[in-house]
Amino acid sequence: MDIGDLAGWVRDDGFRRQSSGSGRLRSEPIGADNPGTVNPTPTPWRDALAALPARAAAAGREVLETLFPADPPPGVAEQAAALEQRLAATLAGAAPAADLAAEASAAEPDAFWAAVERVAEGVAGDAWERLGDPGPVAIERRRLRHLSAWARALAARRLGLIHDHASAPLLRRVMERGPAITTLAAALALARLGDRPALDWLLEHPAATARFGRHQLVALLKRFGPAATPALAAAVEERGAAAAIHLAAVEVLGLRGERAALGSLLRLLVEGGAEARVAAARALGGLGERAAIPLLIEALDDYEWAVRVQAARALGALGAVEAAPRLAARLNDRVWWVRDRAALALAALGGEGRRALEAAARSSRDRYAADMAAEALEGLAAEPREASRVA
Amino acid sequence: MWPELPADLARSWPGALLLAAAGAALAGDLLLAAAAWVQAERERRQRRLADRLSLFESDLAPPVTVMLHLSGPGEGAVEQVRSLLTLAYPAFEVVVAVDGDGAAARGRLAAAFGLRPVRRAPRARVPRGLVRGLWGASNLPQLLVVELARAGRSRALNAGLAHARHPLVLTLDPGTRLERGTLVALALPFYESRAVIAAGAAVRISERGGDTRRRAFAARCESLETLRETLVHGLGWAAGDSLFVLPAPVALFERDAVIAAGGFRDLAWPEADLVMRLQRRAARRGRRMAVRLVAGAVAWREPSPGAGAATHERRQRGLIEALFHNHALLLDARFALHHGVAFLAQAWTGLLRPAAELAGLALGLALVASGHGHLPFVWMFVAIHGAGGTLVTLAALGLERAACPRLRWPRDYETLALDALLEPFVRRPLVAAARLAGALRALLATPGPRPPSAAHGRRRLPRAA
Repeated sequence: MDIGDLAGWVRDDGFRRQSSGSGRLRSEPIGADNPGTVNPTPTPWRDALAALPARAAAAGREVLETLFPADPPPGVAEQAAALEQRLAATLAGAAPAADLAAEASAAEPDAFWAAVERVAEGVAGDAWERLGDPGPVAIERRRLRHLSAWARALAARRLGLIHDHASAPLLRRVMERGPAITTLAAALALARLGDRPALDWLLEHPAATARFGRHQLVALLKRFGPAATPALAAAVEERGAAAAIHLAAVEVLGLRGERAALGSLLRLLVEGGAEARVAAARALGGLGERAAIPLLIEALDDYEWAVRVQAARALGALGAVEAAPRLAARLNDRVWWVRDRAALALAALGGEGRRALEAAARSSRDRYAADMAAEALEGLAAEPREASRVA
Repeated sequence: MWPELPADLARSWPGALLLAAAGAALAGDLLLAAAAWVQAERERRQRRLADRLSLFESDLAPPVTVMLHLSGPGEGAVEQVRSLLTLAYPAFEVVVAVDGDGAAARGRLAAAFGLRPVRRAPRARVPRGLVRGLWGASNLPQLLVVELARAGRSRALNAGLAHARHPLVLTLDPGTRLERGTLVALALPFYESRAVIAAGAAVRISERGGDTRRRAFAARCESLETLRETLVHGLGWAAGDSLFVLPAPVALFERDAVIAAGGFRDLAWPEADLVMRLQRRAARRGRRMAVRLVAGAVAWREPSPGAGAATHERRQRGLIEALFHNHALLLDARFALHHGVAFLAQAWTGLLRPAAELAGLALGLALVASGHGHLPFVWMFVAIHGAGGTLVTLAALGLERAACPRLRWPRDYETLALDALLEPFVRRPLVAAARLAGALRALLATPGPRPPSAAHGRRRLPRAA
């Protein structure tokens, strides 16, 4: 028996309950045929006592709801599911925006935004113009001025999801004012809008994003889209890559294969700091420019092992057959990662690389080099090994 | 004289000391619950802001090596590896370290996945003769089975670490199942902050038949205990950047930090020792919030047999060993004050709290049995230990709802809330006894019950290349 069963003895739910004799409870509605004669002479204290467990449970639930509200609140998931269909139809142009606005106004704002989250990644930017101006959007615009940084950040994220161009000036102010959490959320929202002034501000104020992780910054800059690539190249050209945001820009240039950045990247590879050289070597691998091969071969002797790793990787990606002897020499490197990447790069070079690997596996005096070469050859024999990614 | 002894004890300083100890434990738990509430709220906000989709954008997710240590017959190993291979994560591999007595487990895996011998150069030094063979599947390049001579958990994890390819390494116990999204949730802190070097998950007790009320009382109590340890203690300490003990046997580590810290040591609870060393390392480098607990990352396990006494004993022994080996957290002036406070609190939990709980309960029972049940000690102890303990457990239930809701509202909460009334007097004495036994074993340096494959003595640890 649980609390609900105990509470059932109170007749305020319109039912009376009594034991059927087999230990089970049966319930009958109280009505004209059933006057409810189980307890014909109720006393106030007995009723109060019987109601105590139910009241305690209700009070407990209320305390729990207040102190530890569910996320999402009860009922929101169902509303969100219904709104998701309406939203998808509206964005596809199959239903009028007014219907969605009416339905969204009747539902919890969280339900509307949960529906937006579900469809956001599959919707092109201009399709959001069909959304109109439903109530929850106006609420979030107001919340961009909220005192709480969390509230501003959440509002920025939501407005970014729906590509709300009308909010761009306010989002820029939120981004510039900080703190870090709002800067990132607003920057991501503006990146979805492809907002060029926001990108310029980010590149000119590296201190604002200094605390963020590299992956996070790369994701942020990638969100600005291919149109932002020249601005990134210009920033790297002018400012080098000392700050986190500029290092992320170097990574993005590599990911986008921006050949116009070749000169800047080569200069970074030679003159930059350790992190800049690592990022430049990695980016040069993505560029596919064979002009980078001589400097990458030089970078195989860099005193920073992470640079040697990325140089080996880039040479493999570029198919630099002329680098095979130097890569084979790196099979003896004291750092495991360099040996591993050198072996993988040789494996990617075709016949020349294979011969270098076979020679190392057969006759290298260094056991680690022989092991690594043998492993790479085994991978070649089985099937092309899945390129494992090193952050 | 003897019938009066309990009453005399209750009226004099031992009684006062036991009440003070119970009061201090309760006050500490309530403070942790408050801190955990703040942390849960912070996590909830961050969850709403997290741009998880970015993680799935090609190269941006940090790749993960999932390490599983198998010993014994390995029943269920095939299903566990299959479930690991279906995790929702862009880039990961599974390294299964099969211990010396796990030939049957290796056979099962070989039959299920078509394993064949492969070569893989380890990235750290492995003791000669430890690795018997490496096995891979041609159609599953992300699976590697490392067959070991009799190794024990620590050496097996070190061997797995030496063969791990990826920058993040997840350790988990056999029999622990991850939800599909757990890896993403655990990797998010690494994605969002460069300071993070370890993140623990929340483990939950699986529900047979899906109905909490149908489960045995013992299993429900274990559920409550797990929630309390994970959400009140774990989240509470995490809020203060002093998380020394990851409550669940599922944790994601930065591989290079683990290797630089010396890998897993051959202690009863190697993960606790490792986390303390990582905290020391992070503190020396000025990295704040380096060890996190992600309440939203959920793993599941079956209820422990025999009230989990062996597990509690082993973990308590491991906790004391880890505290002993990492006493610098308390004594080294370079570390922050909150680390010292957390160290003392863990030492209290490890050494004195189980003894104080048992002594208080024993004295209360003796008073009732000798006809002195009316003494203030009895009701005061019941109020502090019983009602206070229930309050902390109810806070854990609330945190479950806020941080990682998996129970059904409201029936599961009601059932467990009723159990929370009895748990301080039924389950906790058993747990306290097991912990006390573990503490005594650690202090007397006697080896406790270990898996038959475990070997003893100091081990060579893998070193960074």
